[in-house]
Amino acid sequence: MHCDNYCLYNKVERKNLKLKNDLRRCRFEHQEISQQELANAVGVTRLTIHSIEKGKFNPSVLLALKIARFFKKPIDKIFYLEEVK
Amino acid sequence: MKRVLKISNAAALILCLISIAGLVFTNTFFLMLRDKIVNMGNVEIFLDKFSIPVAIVYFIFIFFHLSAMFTLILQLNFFKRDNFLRAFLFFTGTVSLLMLVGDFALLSDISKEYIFGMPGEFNILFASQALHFIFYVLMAVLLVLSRKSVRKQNEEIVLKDDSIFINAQYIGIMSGISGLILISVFSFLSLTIYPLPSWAMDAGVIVVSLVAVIPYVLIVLYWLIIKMNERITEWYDEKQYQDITRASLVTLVASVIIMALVFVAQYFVSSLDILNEIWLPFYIFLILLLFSASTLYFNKKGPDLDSMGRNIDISKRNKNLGLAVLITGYMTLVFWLLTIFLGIEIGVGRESYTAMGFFGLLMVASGILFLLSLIFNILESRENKRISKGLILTIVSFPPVAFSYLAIVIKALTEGH
Repeated sequence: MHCDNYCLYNKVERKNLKLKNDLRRCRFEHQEISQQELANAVGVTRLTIHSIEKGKFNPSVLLALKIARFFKKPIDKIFYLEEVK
Repeated sequence: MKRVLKISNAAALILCLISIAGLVFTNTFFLMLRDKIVNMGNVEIFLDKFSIPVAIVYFIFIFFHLSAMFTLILQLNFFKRDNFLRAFLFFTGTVSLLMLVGDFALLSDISKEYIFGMPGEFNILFASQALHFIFYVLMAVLLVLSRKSVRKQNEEIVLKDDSIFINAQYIGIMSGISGLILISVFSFLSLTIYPLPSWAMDAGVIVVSLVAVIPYVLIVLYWLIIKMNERITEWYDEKQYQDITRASLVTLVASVIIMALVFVAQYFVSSLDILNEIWLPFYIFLILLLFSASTLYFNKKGPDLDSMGRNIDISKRNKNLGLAVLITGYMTLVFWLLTIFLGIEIGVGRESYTAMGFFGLLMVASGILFLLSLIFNILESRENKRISKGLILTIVSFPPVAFSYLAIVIKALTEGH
């Protein structure tokens, strides 16, 4: 069935999606490194890592890729979208 | 670094204890001097006898201040965590250091003007002494508390530091609030009780504004020195950029609304006309306050939340209790100074009784809140095995609360003598 841009927008964008992450779990699986060590590795402050973990801050694509590269995991194994009701 | 900090901590603590004793000495001297002036005693002989010891004590004060500021900078570098007490001490320490220079000028004026009656400079001198007292006592508390943590903790490697960034916001808030209060009080007094010529008022507003803003300028300069080695694009990380952007928007909208409200209110409240004279420093301090407060809010909003539902309520309640003690404690001190000031300048009357009433209410409230906050926060700190934010706020509130109760006890003991 044909689906135009408006239809796609209704299907995907109008859902209340939120960026979630498994950063905390990844840190513990990765020799239990601290937020500060991860922050040093990707060049941000500890507070930024803390805010990402708490879902208070969405990282840029660049930072998300840096984090994924650090953990040697595909980006969608760490960051994913979740529908919020 | 750790060794330097240990030595600096110990040196500052020794100088701090000597300075507290020195403060008792200088205050006794000032009280005796005031008595001599009131009772028409031989002030000149008294001044000749004590001027050199007082000058020596003041040099010790200056050494202590410099050593304390150096220790605070070292601690900021070592601990890599923002700390309200440290930021508060950086602010009060800088203002107190500037007031030491002011004390010399005030004493020089007093020694020249006492023949014409009781100089008004005594009021400012005693306010300055209260500030020194708060700084010395809290600095002693910080030095004692941090000794153990310096010994235990190893220096953490932090490539992108955020503690100076957050401390700068704390100091920005303090500078903003004190600047707004100081310029408003100064211009109100110089337009009503002590009428000054226009040039003297402008000069006074500049001096008062500089005293309030210098701590912020110093911390920003220190932050800039640290950032010199980095590229400008790396001065902030992406969250800090986002926080600053949001804070700028809040500042823009809020400042326009507040200034518009003040502009309209001037038509109805004639006492707000003083803002015509001080609109520029008023606007600058308002912007500083709004920007620092909103940046801090956006930057810290995440870390303040705890994932455990029960802990959110308890730690929030205890923090709010600490904040309430802090506000009522310092308000008590302000009303105590106001009561004395009105009693001296206007005499006993409706104004001084009103101020006294507020002082009494605030003193009782601050005492009760202090005890409650202390108990709840000690329990929370023991449970979590770390000092709670509410406990830090309660400790910071101790000097004004103790000071006001001490003042009442001394007044009760010396009544009639």
